Amino acid sequence: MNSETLLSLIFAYLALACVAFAVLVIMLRNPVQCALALVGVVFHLAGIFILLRAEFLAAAHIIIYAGAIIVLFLFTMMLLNLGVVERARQFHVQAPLAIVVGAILFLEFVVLTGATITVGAQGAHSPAWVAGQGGNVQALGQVLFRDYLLPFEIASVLLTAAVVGAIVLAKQKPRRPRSSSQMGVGEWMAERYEKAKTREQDPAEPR
Amino acid sequence: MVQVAWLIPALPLIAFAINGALGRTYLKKRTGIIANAGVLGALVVSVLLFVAQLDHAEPETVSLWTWAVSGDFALDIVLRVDALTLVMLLVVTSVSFMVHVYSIGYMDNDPGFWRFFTYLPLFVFAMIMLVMANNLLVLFVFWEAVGLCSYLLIGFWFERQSASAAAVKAFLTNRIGDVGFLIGLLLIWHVFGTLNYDEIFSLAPVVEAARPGILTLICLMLFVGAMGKSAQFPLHVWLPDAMEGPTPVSALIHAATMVTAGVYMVARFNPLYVLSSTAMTVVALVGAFTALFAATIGLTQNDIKRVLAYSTVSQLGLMFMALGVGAFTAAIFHLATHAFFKGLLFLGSGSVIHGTDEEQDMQRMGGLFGKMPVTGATYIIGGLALSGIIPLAGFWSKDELLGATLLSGDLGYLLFVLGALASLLTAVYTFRMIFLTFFGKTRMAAERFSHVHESPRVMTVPLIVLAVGAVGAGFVGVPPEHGLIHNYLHDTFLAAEFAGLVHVPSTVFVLALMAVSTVIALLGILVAYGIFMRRSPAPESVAGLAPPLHALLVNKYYLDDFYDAVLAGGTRTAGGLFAWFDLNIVDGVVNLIGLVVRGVGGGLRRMQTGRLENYAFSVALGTALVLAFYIMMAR
Amino acid sequence: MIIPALEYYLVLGAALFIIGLLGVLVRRNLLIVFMSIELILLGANVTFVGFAVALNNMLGQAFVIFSLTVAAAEAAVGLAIIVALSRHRDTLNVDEIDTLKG
Repeated sequence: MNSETLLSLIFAYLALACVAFAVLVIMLRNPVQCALALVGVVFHLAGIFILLRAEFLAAAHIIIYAGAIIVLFLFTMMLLNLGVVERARQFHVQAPLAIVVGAILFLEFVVLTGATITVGAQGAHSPAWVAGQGGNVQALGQVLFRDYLLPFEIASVLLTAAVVGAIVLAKQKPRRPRSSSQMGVGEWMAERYEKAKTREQDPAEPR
Repeated sequence: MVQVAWLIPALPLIAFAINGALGRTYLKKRTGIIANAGVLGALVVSVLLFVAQLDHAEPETVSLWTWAVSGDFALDIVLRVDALTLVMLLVVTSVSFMVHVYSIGYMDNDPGFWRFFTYLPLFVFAMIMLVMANNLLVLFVFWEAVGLCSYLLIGFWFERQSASAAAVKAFLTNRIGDVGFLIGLLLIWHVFGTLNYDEIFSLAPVVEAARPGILTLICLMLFVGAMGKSAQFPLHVWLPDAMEGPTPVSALIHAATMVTAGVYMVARFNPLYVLSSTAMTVVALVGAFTALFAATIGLTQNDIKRVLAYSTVSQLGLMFMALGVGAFTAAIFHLATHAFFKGLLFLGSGSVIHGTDEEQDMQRMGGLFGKMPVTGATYIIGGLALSGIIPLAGFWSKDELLGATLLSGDLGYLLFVLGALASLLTAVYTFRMIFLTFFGKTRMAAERFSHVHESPRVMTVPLIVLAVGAVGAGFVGVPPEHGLIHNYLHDTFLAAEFAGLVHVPSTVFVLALMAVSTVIALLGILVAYGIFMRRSPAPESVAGLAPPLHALLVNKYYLDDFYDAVLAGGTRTAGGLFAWFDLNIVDGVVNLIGLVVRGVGGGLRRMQTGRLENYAFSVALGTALVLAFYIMMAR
Repeated sequence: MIIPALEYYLVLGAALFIIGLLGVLVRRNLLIVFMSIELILLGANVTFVGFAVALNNMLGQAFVIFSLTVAAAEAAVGLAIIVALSRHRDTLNVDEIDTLKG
């Protein structure tokens, strides 16, 4: 067994596992199990990246996906207390139609893969160049921080905006009403109106 | 001296501006004082000008400013001060002032007090500008402005359905006349190329020579406007309804001043009218017919103010009759005297209404003389003046007017008969009114009768002043044909003399006519006394002599019903047809388009489920289709 | 040199993409819909890296970094939206959230 066959076998395993876990993600009832299946997908995908000699991205996927995003999912589930298995119907009525369209789309992708889009100009970053930089991480660093520094920094702005947005969206509304001196006039009027309305509905309530 | 003429319109305008701006919130009752001050100022300046111009009543003009310039047409705001204007100014400002004083008492309890005293000076301003205009367009603007004030004041108590309906009726009827007036104005602009009085008058003979007949058309069109404003048959229907307004308004606008604007306008354009005998004949015939026609209706009305309204229509008819035979001075003379005694009668009727707690039906009055002696006495003076009893104001002017008619030629005999009959009926309905209101046994409930009271001093003093006017105003025309007013207005109406329309009567003729006039008036009073005081024959039996005629008169010749059925009904039917067309054809098409769009939209709306996964599915389907197309093309 | 051929990687990426798309289309639970979106992004990442290696161009790998950024931001904001939504509507079923309906 030469190394090429071995690598192909490893790829076959990793790819099949990826697909299998991905199918589990969309098939399982329990969201927690889905999240764990997603972790499986990410781990096997990281293997594929190693196969492609993209070690840094393999590590980054595990750290960011498994370590951050999926943990965030799990946190959210716990926060919303959705750990219990939902008895309700899981799939949408349009599922059969969607599967047909998905299958057609997949077929089209495969056709296109074999036919047209696999050609392209060879870039400058040959394996020899990568080795010359000292490895994948150094090579990626060279590209990212020298040629694409500005987009990288802009990405940080995007992340900052996302953090702020997330906090604003998820922030709890204050339970206790503020004292009237802290309210705007409109708010104060609205509250007075509400109070008056409840009094009207329930005259027994003391003023 | 003439340079201060601008003060005359300016003072009421200032009073209007102050009252309009501050009356509602700040001045309230004090608006009355301001309005009175403004009108009094106008009166004082008018008198001063009149005295200053007494010797030489040459037309003078005061340029204020240029309003608009368009090409070679410049519209200057110029005040004209000549004999005719000054006579009109005196009448307008003096009667206005009396009415203003009176209104303080009459409107005392009205919540719209400030509004009343805002409209009233506005009217005075507009009326003054109307008579002082030196330009047909300015005349037209203020012609409309007094119409607007009339509308506002008729509908002063707009909460009442009938008042706002009367206001609309007055406005619409006047609008018909105004269309004629506007056509006349545009014709003059087209033919003469100018709207300035003096230029028009000097060009008139040239135009008549160049284009025969055009002047007749212009004069008739202008007269249509005068018919609307001065309530001549068949456009008289609005004036009796205008009595829905407060009584001082009826006195000022719908008796003394505004309704005489038509007479003034025809007199002002006398150089044009004398050149068109056809137009003159039409004016005279319409006037004479209206005089008799309205007088007959006045015989049967029971609303005290409506009797006076028909009387006003009748007297205006007499004025037009005089204008039509070229007796312009007599017409203006009658206009002036009429303003005093008709203003007096209206204010007197207002006093009666005020004192009897808003009673207007004469059949439910009677015996009021003892309760309100000042009102009664002044009212009788006004009635005598209206009937034409020597030596009161109405006698001199009406006598002169009838005399001029009789001398004017063949048609004059017919006109004289109509006018004399109208005078007879005038005396009858006037004294019917006086007897029913002030004498005999009261027909009021005892409880209400006990509450009848004389009006306050602020109302009776104007009555007394106007009564003095009703007695004395006629003496400006004494001796007949050679009085003060004749000399004063002589130059203004020179055109009539040139046209050979002025006939100087002999002394015998004048004296004979005076006798005839007096006999006519006394006969009328006697008839009224017999029927309505002695009740022999009783009014009912007189009415029973010719029931259809009586019904005809009571229903005002069914003219209102005729207009209602034919004009209003026709309009309504046409409106119904158009509405049907609009509802079924036009709307049908529109609705059809709407329904189609709605149907399509409703179908499309189903696609908008609002569910995210449906939209995502559409995206996926679209991607699949695009890729399929791409693959096909790549083959 | 890439073993096995690039096409296999592309088909794997396509498979992950389609599975993720199906997840978005058929699942009612909003959380799982979001996980499916992550699957779509992973499929894209595989394609990027595959091309980067096959074409000797590091840009493809650099781009995955940005893709990861987007995924992280999307997860953060998306989950915040889910939290806010569950407070208001008491449901996470996509087909019950239809206020967009015309």
